[in-house]
Amino acid sequence: MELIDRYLQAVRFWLPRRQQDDIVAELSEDIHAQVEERQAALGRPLTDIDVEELLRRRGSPVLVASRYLPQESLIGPLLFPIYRFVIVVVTICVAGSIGLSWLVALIIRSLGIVAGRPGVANPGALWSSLWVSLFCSAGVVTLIFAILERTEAKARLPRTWNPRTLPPLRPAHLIPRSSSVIEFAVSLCLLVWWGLNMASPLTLRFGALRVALAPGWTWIFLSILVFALGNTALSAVNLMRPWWTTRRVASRLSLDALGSVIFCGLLRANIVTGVAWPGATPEQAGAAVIGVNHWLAQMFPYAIAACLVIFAVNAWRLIRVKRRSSLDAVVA
Amino acid sequence: MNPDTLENLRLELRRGSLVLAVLAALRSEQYGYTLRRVLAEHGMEIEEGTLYPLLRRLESQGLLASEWREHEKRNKRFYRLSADGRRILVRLLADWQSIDASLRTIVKEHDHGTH
Repeated sequence: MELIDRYLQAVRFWLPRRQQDDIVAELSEDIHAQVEERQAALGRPLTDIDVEELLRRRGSPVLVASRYLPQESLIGPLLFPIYRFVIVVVTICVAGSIGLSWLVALIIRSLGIVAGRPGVANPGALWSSLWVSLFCSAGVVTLIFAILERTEAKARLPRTWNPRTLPPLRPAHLIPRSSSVIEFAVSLCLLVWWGLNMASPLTLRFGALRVALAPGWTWIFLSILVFALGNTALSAVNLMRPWWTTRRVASRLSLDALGSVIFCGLLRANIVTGVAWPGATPEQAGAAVIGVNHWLAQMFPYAIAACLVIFAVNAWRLIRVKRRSSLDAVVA
Repeated sequence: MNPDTLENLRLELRRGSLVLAVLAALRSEQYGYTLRRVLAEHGMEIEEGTLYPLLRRLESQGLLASEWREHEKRNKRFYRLSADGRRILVRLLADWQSIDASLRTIVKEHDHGTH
């Protein structure tokens, strides 16, 4: 029966000190009563294997002890939904800010602005700092909520709740008017500026600087004009009817897809064929053309990544709006 | 259907009933092992890992009283219903009978509606 004593000792370890003797005495009595009953049924003393089986059925020592302990949790069911929301927000903020730094660092590196100063724009270091920052921020948030769980604030939460403080009803898939106003203004400015200044066939003038462009420029000019026109029209409609519909989300998706194709195509088109400014030698002008085209080509992967993000956001919005429309149809 | 769902629902259904069964069985004094056997004989099987913590909880709530006593050459802890426990058992049994009657009516009405 040494196995039973070892079992009881292991259970005792997990029990609160004040209750150890009492609980273990009762548990011991119960196990011995069960052993006696089993022996009477079998007509022989129990072997070690029998005892082992009997103890296994009772469960591991920590499991048995846990049933005597009060149920505890680091963050209880009342605060947990708030905790989860805060964790998501903090994670997005931390990852977003570090991701932005990472992108800026990559661009700075590719431009060679900080050549010779690797510490400034080291994507590897930023990548590792992302994990450290995420773990630290999640740890701090968890700690704060664990403290809140054990303070009076949690108990006051349901009592201080007031129905009048509830946020007003929001229409489904609302488009904030502020964003529509900004989008409309920017699109209109782009449309006017583009139409007035970039229409010159194959040669652009910026003060004393002249830029000669490849023949493909005409198509790019027209495509961007169509894109700006579409954007202006869509933002005007969004301003007047500030909620997303399936058709308008699909239009947004198509426009952004068109913009992505134009932009990425522009980067890889070797669009600049010549530059000239007062006092420039042919060698300087040639180097400038190669430099500009090379820089544009280098931006291509980042542009692809940005376009994919925009596409994913629009696709997700389309799915949500479609799902909501189907639900509304079912309810109606 | 997920078999775990049925098992969880059964557990939930039994949880409240077990308290009632234990309180009712302890109108006469019992120690843990015999209490478990009495409950099993009446179709309310309960694991020792569930029974003993439940007995402690009910005792800490003042519904049970217990004492260690020698019985058949071994020390055993005997439980019985306290005076508070008796009063609460009466109230709980009334509630249970009311729930049982309501459920029977609901199930009966539903059966009439579907046939």
